[in-house]
Amino acid sequence: MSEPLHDDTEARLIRAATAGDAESFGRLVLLYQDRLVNSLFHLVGNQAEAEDIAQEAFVLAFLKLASFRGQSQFYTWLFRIARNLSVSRFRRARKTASLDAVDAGGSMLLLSEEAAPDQRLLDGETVARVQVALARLSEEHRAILILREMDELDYDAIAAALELPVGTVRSRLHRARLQLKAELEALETVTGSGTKEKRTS
Amino acid sequence: MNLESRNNESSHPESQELLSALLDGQLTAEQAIAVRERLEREPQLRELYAQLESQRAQLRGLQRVAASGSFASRVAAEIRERAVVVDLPREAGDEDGPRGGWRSVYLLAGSLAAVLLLGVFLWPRQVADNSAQVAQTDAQIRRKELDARAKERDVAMNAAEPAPAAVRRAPAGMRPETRGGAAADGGVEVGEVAGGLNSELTANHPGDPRVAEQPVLPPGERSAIAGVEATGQGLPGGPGLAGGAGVAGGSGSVGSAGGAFGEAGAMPQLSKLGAPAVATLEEQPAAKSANAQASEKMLADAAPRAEAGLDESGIPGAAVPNTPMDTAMDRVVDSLSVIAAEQAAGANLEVWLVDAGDSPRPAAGVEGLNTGSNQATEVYLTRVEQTELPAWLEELRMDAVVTQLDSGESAELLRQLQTKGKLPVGPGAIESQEFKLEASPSSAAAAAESAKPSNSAAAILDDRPSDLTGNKLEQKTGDKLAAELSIAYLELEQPAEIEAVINRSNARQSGGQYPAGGGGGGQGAFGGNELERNRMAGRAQRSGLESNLSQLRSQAYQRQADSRPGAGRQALQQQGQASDSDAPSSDRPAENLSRENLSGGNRDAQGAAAGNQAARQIIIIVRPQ
Repeated sequence: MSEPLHDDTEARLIRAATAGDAESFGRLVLLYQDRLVNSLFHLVGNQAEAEDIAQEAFVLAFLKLASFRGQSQFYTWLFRIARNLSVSRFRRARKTASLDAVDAGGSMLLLSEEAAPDQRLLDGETVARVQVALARLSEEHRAILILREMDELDYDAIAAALELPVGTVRSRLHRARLQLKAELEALETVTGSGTKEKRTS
Repeated sequence: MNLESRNNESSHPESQELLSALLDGQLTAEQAIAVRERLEREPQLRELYAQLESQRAQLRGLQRVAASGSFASRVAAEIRERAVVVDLPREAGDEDGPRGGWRSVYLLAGSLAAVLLLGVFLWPRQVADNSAQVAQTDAQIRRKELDARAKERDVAMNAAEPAPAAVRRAPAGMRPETRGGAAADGGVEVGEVAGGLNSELTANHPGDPRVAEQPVLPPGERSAIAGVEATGQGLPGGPGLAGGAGVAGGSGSVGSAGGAFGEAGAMPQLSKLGAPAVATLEEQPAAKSANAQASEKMLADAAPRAEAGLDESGIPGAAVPNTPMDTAMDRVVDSLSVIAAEQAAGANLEVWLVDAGDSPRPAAGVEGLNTGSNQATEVYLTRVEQTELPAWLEELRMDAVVTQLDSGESAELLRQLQTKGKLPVGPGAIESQEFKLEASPSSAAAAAESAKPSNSAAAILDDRPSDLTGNKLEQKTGDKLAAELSIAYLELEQPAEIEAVINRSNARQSGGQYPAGGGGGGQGAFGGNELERNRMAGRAQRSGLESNLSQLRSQAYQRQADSRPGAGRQALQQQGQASDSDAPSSDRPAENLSRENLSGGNRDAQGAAAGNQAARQIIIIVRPQ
């Protein structure tokens, strides 16, 4: 993941890009593409989808660069665009999505194209379990956890990215963590029984 | 928070939230000490904290995914595809300010994207040494700024020598769009960028196989940029390019956009004004094409018919007065259908549906809209709590607002938009009951108003913000697009109005955007094939629109027959948008607003042409009943 640029430099790049310097915008793409794709991957659970959304977000960002007023970080603005795109896609997809792919909380499981959750769990990978648990969270909880734990944004930046008051960020983040904890515990139970069954057989 | 005031409250949500805040280092020193003291005292809380810490470590240990190697070039290609192709056919004679601005921006965007595509091959795939890159970037930008300042000085010393667009400063008080006539500066600049990069490619990387392997300019890009470069060689720019070929049209566009992009300081202003980067009508009277005048005449003709309740064919009863049937959702559906019709006509509209409901809902209720993200048309449903203005909304500028919030909330929300300069139309008008309820009279008046061949584009710019206090949206804006859509929104049941809108789009498609002498103007540097494709797409759209229009008519008749309240809402429910279940059932054919019915079989053509239109943004604010 690329480290965020110094604010001043980011501002310079944006100013230059807005003034027509394509190279500056290209630098912004290169600097943030991995970070955005990674976040989107964990948000939507599919790399191809994540890249599609990220690509669209960059294109929109370019086209709307003039409307970016620099009141937030470029990345949070970009993430906001990407998340809106993601939500929009999800709603469209939900019309045709199998109910099996949607958990009780309304979030789409991440792993349908990669590996069955059970398979991952039987592999005993903690990482996979965390991914499954993350996928089971509601989208808003998943998003806030990604911004905090993966993008390591502070509360103010998260508030800007999710358009929430800072106080709400704190409470939502905590609820997300509790929900993740509950999911992990539930999965642990499943994993434990699965492992036991495997041993028995 | 006084932690000591809570004993054995480790399960209290607020107490637990403090754990998260502690984990994130978001507490003050005093708070952190207090929480840690509690952690020592309360094992339950301590255990939870440990779990949260472990959980964080697990999350941070998840595999990180990187963008694939071709990602950046795909971004560049996508920008180029949307931008270069966009709107060239609609150049001369189309005096709609905001669209002209977008068109210009998109064209320049395309050129830049071509440059970007090239640059991608030069940029390091990964930033191995971030600090070095930051320093390098800083140095480059500073160098460019210094160069720009030097050029400015040169310009000051020699006024006869035109300054590059990138460093040009508009005279105080001059609106950016008035520089459209200055024409080719942007072209020069883009040409310089392209040429400069090409030179850099060769000069800085003489032996770089990536440079050698990649064509410096693929044929299509080369022709596009060649067109831009040509503008720098003195071809006239700006609107009013009747007779001009593709190059001339392009030069005007790029010239304007160059002004828009060229001055960072102008950007907020552009954003505020909806970014019209073409000359205003009063400054460029010759820019008004015969087709544009015909369109206005159509609209003017439609107004009295609409007032009289007749459609174009004189069928009485087509105009259905407001009845209880006109619920909020009916109106929203109607608005969407109008927008869908515009989209079907090839207009590239960005539609943001702001839902004041409790939670985001499926976009199924806007089936009539083309929501393909690859056509710059997106439908967003999001949540508006009371009058809170979402930050993302602030990032937008918009050309029209259709609201169905309660009057007070609507007024507040729109006032915020107005204050923030995000709304180029008079949001104060939304407050007007006349706008909301008295559809026919005000709309007819507005239609007449908007049809006036006045200096409408200038009016909205000149009169703002004083004019925003007015109470008639249509009469105050001068933005014909916004006015038409607002009118159509109110008067969908009067097919004449819809027809006027569609006819206008047809007129635009059928030739308004082609310079008279430039029928083969596409043979210019931008390529004739593109124009021909667009024309064919336009013809296909028109045929599709005819069937759409008949459906809209029959829909209006059905409305007259069916006056049950909530019918439109039922339609939305059937489409999956409405969440409540209290609406009466109805077989009213509002389902005709499905995408298939509205877009007909011309979706392919629509898709082909949608990318050729500059996007306009329309915000629809909805409050479910």
